[in-house]
Amino acid sequence: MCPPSVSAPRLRARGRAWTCVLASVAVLAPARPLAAEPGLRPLGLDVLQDGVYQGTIHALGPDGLELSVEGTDSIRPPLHGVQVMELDVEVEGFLLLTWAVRTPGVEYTPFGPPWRHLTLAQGRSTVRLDFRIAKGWATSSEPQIGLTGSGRLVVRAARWLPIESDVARLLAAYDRANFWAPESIGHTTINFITPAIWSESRGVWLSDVVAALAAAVFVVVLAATRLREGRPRPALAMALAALLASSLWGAYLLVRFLPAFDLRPTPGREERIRENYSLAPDLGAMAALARQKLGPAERVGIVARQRDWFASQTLCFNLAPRPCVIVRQGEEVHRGISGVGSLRDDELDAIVFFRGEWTPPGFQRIAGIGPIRWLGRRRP
Amino acid sequence: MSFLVAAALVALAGLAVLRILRLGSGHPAADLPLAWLVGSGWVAAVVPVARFAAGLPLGRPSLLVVLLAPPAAWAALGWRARRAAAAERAGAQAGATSGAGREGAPGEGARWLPRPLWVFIPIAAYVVIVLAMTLLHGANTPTQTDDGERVRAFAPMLAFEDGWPPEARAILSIAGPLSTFVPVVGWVLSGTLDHFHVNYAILADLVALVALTVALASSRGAPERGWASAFGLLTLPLFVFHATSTYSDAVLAMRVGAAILFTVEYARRGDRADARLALLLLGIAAMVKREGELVAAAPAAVLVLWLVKEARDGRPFPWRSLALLVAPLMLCATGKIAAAGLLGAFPMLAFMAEQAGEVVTGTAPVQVTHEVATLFFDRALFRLGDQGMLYWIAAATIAVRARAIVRGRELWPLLAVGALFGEVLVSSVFLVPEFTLNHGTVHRALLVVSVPLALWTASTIADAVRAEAHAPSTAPAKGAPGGEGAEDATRPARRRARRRRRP
Repeated sequence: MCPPSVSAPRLRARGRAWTCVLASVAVLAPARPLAAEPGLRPLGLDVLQDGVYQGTIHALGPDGLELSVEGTDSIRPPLHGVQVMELDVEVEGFLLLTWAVRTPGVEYTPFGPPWRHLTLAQGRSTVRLDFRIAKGWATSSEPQIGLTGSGRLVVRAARWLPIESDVARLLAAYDRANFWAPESIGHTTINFITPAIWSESRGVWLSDVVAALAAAVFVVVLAATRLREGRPRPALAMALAALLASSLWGAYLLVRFLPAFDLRPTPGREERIRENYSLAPDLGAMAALARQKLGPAERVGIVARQRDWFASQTLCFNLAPRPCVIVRQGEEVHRGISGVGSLRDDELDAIVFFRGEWTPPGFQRIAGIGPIRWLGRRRP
Repeated sequence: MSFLVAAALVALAGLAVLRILRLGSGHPAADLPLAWLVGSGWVAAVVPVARFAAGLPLGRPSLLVVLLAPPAAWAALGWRARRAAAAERAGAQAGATSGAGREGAPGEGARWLPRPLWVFIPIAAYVVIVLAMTLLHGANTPTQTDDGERVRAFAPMLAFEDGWPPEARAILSIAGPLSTFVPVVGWVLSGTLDHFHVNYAILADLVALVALTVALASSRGAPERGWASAFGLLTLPLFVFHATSTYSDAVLAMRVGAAILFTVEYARRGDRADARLALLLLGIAAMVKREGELVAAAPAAVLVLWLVKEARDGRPFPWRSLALLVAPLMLCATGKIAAAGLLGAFPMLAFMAEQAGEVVTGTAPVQVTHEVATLFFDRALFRLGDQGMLYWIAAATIAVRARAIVRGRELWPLLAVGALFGEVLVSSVFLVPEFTLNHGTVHRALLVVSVPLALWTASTIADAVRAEAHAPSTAPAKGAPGGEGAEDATRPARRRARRRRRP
């Protein structure tokens, strides 16, 4: 209801404004997520089992397909052209799931942008893996599911959406999925976000579509003011066109960032370190454990894989202000982050072993989150 | 909690510095965020000098001296001014004026509700929502390390340890004094290292810039311009993401953006206090990252040129204003040279000189200028979406308002932004094209252009609409914002009329 003091022209102006808003919504509506997506079909767990990496400890039992993960494991179901896969899972531990596709002729970079990943919640949950938004998806693609961390995963049921014969519908679903995909925050997001594309299949940029709409608004307002007021109002036309363009982009920013951002208020800093390393939940858990167990003046060495710069630096960083170095095999004097500070082997009070390739002698495990992620103190 | 105490002390120091320098926005609502921006600059300028040139260890006593010196000086000056005023009153002379007041602030009525409200309520809601989600995500997210070599949030930890081996001094030069010393304030005062203070310091910059943008325009009677600018700022996706990280690219962009905000105000009102604040903020921006000095130099040069031109037109050259730019730069340079030596203090200058040498001698490893330029102009600016729709809107605004811009004072802030753009262009296309080809730095390098450009564009559009609404027409626009603020309107109609008179 409008207050009685509102004048008729102002009401008309409001009406026009709402028309603009509704028109904007109408523009975005065709790309509505999951619109008209057919139901998923059940997928036998034996099919998943066939794709489990050979070295992974796994078993198919009455509860489902159980996998014991330490480090990095993968499932490569012998399927082609999977659009979507839904898994009912039960999780214990700290596990990161990465989904990607292997497509003939396309470089396979599962951890490259856009890195599609999610931290699996403890307990039972359902995860939806949209393979269409993985890099290089095509009808010939093979789905790949990577598991990183330390823990136990039970897949209780699986469903999938195979490709359909109607190419137009398939492409429309592919475009919708990519348009509405949340931002995939990874190591490279600091350099660039995932490109905003209106139609992935046709290669149409979202910016081109928005710019065309804004240009149309500019021309219409210019003509309308010329007709109604006897003079064109280019500044007003520019303002409305800019407002439309910015609003659509702002709405798209919310679509992309709201699901990707961690918006749960978490007051405790230890809890934030433990739970919010979304790129490596096992690393966050290990950092929090080390912070809890180690004294403020203990001198720490990080033993991680040689090429794993992320784990070694992040652990050392989170242990500050404790003196911390990155321990390398064959070196007697070890350096800290960016080469700042050094400690000799015999000066280390404790080590954080995180999937290292070797174990320095003289340390005994005092706590851990699995066999290859543990905290050790020097033996007395 | 310790960060809130630290932020309050930093802001108090900043407010005192502003009052001592007789600077300010003219309204407390805008002075408060400005106080944070200036106070953090004070910490960044003075602490390295005290630590490395004077050899004072960074501890609670020395930090408290740095933080409380400006308020103490302000209080002393205020006491002296009050005593002088009392003496004058005793002599039955005219009323005394406060020595801490701001110079030359022309009276403009504050207006806090933008009009039409139904347009600006969704805009304000968007600003609040994006700000809230950025604050939450930014405060929640632990530092993600950078690459195999560097950890950005590491520099404050080195400052907290206060050991400073040569490698740590090199990191100070790379991170810049502002990113190194501001997050440390809370740690030193509380004696506890909380990693998230680095996040909070960046988020405080964001809140300060958005609050300053809205409050400054509103306090000067044009809330529409403030909200439009904040809206424009928060539709830049990569900027929003960067504000949630512990990288300093967004910080540099925000600091330069705040300076451009006052440059735009100077263009609108011609009040020298705004030019002084712009120069001071650029001096502070030079203390962020190793490229801060180069980035701040470009708009500062334009602003100084502008003042020189005004001096030639008969307005006295404000030498004191220049001191506001030079003083933080000198302090910063003194601290960095004392810490890392002359060669190590300015790593970006050496890097750029080396790259330029390679380009000139033709020995640069990547020589694909055409491909890189296409990537820069087509993809990075307009297509990929890291900068939202900003460059489309800015290009259209410049095209539509070209005549008014060229003939008016809005040209100078645009030239300042253009100088920033030129720097990024030269760097991305010629000096380090490999980082444009692999998308390594080009998009975040553009943030120092995008943030000021968003503020300029929104301001120009808002002013133009206002001017147009006030321009004489055959049928007056109904429901247009009326009355006040005609002085800040751009002048297309007036100029057209002047042209008609010319023959």
